[in-house]
Amino acid sequence: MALSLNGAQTFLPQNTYRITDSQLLTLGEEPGQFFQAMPAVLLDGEGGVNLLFISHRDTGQLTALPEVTVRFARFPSIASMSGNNAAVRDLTQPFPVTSTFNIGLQHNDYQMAALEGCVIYCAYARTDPANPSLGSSIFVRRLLVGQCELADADMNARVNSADPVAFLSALAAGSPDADVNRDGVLNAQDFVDYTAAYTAVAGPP
Amino acid sequence: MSKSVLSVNEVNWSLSSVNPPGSPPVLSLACANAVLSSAAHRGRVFASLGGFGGTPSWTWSDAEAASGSWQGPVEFTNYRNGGVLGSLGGTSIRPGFRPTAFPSVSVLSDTVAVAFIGVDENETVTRTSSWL
Repeated sequence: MALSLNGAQTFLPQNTYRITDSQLLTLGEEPGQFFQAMPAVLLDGEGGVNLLFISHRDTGQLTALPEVTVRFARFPSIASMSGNNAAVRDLTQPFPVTSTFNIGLQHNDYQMAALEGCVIYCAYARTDPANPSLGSSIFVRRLLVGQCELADADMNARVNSADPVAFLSALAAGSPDADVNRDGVLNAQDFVDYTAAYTAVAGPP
Repeated sequence: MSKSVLSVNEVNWSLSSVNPPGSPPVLSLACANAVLSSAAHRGRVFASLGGFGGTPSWTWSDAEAASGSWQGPVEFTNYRNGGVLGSLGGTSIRPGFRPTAFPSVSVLSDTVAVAFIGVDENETVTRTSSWL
């Protein structure tokens, strides 16, 4: 039921999607229970839905301090969210929460994401898995999504003039890295798609 | 410079903005209200969309209840004009993952996305999940 404040009109149509286990399983996760917390959402300029959240695999050891990761997931669009097509990656190795660094209600940490073009900056805090009692530190990860990810042929999280060179080298070598459209075939369409992605980000190569 | 104040009796809120070319700025706000007890952690998430181009106009919606996808015990409570509330918590949350109604909001053009966590109470073991 929509609520009204200050006499405002009806709210927008909406849908709710659960970020399901099966969506995460598409990228190699093991079956099992999971706990997720503190999601941050960011829509990007290409319509992508980017999520940053805490993920915990259930080890069945209820008394143990949970080890968690900071997980990033991107759906190409809201319309695609019912499919198993999220690109998912853990931004951290598993790290423990502690009595002084915890996540959730009345605890002290969460994640944030900011967007610049097709570059997403993910900020989060974590403990050091080797010395969790030392407290937590803040980290920022820089991720390329959408056209930026396609254009970053040398995969150094930067898009510059070295990338077309790297793409052409990969294409000449028959490397799967040059299969830009991920259809399993290296052909002229990959060149077209790569050129379009690079041009959209950095101008004509 | 004029200013307007929107007052909401909620906690844990986030704000996003977008400035469409030639149009007044649009702001999006999500906030949550958590009702805590020894037996359960419950709450709800609301989202709003408003613009500042003269008189502020805000529209609110329960981000969960309207979807129909939230199974399990749904708490009905009179709230402002009478909202239908979805549960945001359960009783089997382990330390470190007590439910927190801390929504995140992002707006792009005519789309507002709100992310939050919740519990599907139909499941044997209560787990927190991310929802959008």
